[in-house]
Amino acid sequence: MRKLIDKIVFSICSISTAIVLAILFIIIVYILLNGIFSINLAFFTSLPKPVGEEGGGMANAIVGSAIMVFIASLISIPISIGAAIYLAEFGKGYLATSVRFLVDVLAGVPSIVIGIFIYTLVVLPMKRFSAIAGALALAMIMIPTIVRATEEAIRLVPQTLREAGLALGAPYWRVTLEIVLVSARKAIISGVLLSIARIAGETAPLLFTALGNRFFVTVLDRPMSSLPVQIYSYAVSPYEDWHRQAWAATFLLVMFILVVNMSVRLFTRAKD
Amino acid sequence: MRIIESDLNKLREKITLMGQLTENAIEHSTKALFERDSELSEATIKEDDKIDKLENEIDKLATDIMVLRQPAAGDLRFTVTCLHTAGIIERIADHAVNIAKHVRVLNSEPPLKPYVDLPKMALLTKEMFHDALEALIKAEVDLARQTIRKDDQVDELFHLIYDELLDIMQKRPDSIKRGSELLFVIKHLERMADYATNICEMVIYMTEGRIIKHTEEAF
Amino acid sequence: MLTVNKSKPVDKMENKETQTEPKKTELKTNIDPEISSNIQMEAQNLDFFYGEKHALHGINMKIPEKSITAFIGPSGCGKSTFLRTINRMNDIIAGTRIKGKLLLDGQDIYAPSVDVVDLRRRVGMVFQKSTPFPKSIFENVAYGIKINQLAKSRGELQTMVEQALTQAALWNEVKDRLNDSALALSGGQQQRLCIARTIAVSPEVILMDEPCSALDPIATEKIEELIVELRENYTVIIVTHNMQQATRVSDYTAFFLLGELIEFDETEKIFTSPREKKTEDYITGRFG
Repeated sequence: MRKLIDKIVFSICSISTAIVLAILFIIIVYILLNGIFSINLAFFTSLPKPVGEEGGGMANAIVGSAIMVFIASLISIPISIGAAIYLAEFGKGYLATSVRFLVDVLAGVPSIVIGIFIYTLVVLPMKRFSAIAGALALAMIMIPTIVRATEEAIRLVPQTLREAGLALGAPYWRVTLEIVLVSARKAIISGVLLSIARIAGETAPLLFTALGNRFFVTVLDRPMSSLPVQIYSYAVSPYEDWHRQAWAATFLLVMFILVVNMSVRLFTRAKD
Repeated sequence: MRIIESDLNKLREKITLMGQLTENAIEHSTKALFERDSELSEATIKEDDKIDKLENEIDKLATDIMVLRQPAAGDLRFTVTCLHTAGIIERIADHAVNIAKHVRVLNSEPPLKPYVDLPKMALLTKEMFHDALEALIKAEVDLARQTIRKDDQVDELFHLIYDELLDIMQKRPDSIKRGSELLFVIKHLERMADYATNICEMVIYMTEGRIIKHTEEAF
Repeated sequence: MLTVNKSKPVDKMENKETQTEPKKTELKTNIDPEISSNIQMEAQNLDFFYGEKHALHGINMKIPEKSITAFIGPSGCGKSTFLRTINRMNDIIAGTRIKGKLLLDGQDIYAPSVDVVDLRRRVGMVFQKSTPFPKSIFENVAYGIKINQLAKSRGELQTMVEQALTQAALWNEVKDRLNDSALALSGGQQQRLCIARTIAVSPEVILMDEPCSALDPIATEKIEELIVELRENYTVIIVTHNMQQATRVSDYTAFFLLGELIEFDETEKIFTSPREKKTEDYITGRFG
């Protein structure tokens, strides 16, 4: 009897695992098959053609995504790590509890809400959609992820390591920066990379902020194109060739996210 | 119960047994002297093997305790005391055997004189040894102190008998052989009392952790 | 609980008070061993609190310079807490409070004018678990020197690192791989690296909190040899649960129980004839 229950439970678990794997497998294979044949050199090098014309590419969206993700990282990483150090090292009182709560809430806010928030705060006063607004929206999504990952990583650094630093006559701030952060660096970098992987595919917050642009733009106060938004607008269009390009962009995005995730894996496993 | 406890109990049992056998040896050798009992003296000499064997057993057990149980403080002092005391008891037993050997010679001749002080001295020495042993087993430091004081009485008797024997030997040349045998006997008794004193000093070390032998320190 | 049984006679052993020992214990606690050399560290009526918890009760103790003192006692007896008051490591724990005085070279280290960072340079510490920084072997030893700006040039820094590693008996094992990560060293090597790192900033006192408890016997022996050598130049205080270790390395032993210093004396005296019944019970394994 006991053996039977054992077998039943084991079977249920196996089947669940198989379903999860199957879904993932189907998605990736589907995207791969559709994407790999759609991608070509022009996709990377050309700008979108006017409606109705065949060909063209997404060079502007690729560069636009890269720029906005980069700016978002530049903004969010220092803020998040600073906040995480505060929470992990000094965060004991009421204030810290509130900050931790707010960070959790922020993590749970739907990304479209963040888009609207930035729209109200940045786009309306500027009277213009812009890359910087898009980057800010992405940064706000990154912050809670990095803060929690960094705080966890800092907390895992053994207390005696701090004490060992202090015992040598090092002031607390030097111990924190030179010993604690360095010890926790792997987990922190992993957290940062994962948050980048996440925002690279965000569409909703960019619809209200960076909007999109048919042209190649590198200035930050203009609307800027990005891969997810481009995928969205091409996918809902009636044109066959745009559907093809949307598949290509999806393929690129999924590959990027996959590569980032895998490198995080390899990185955290590697020895010092 | 602490692991070391059963080992220490074994050690205590062995040293008690060794002490009892030695007390018997003193009792028998002196009795053999006073009652001119040659059989008893021969038996005493034979019994000594058991005591020697016990000494070896105690040496081994004490060494084992030190290396295997790593005793500290009171346990350590008890173990060291037993190791040391086993050697002392063995020598006391040897003196008893020696007395028995002198009895062998004395019994082959007529008695020199009725013994008066000698039985007193023998009794006192035996008492000292008995009390020293009891002080050791029961860790009674006061008894040890009292016993050490008795050594002076034994010494006094030794000198008294010594002078008396010398006196007899000077007057009667035919008494020289028996007289010198008896001189050896009282010397053995005197040494036994000294050794009993040593045991008492070890008891003071064992209970108080102070080493008082070879010092001027008051006990 | 606080002051009982300090002066309570301990059965037969009290008699000898009249004999050898000079007058002592004007203060309510502990018997001091006879100390002929200079006093490095002295606690005077030291009380310590974790919030409401009274962790140390009126500790009085004098530790001579260039000696090795072992702190023993059951877990939670306050020996580590006391150790950590000596370099004010307890300061970083919120809600701790201290009363009484702790003198280092005659100066109260809890006086307001004392710079904690400088104090910790003078009082080094080695921990139970080896704590190499995630840096190279060289940088681990160099860290304290750099922090305290003890070296004037790169060359001097290198010499100081080599000296510290040599003193810690590690130089020969690591001289060819100074730039490798310290985390690649074995447990015993890591612990010696931590000792080298501590020595490198030339402290006066080295505190060790169970430095061998995570090491195998061979590594332990090496550390113990090293500790004994350190006595040449430093005052060493070591917390240990291993009483054999205390007997092997230390000159003086202090026994703590429930936050009180029960007995402090020469190691040999503590382990052959302690004065206090509680000490005897602890070291013979009757409790604890």
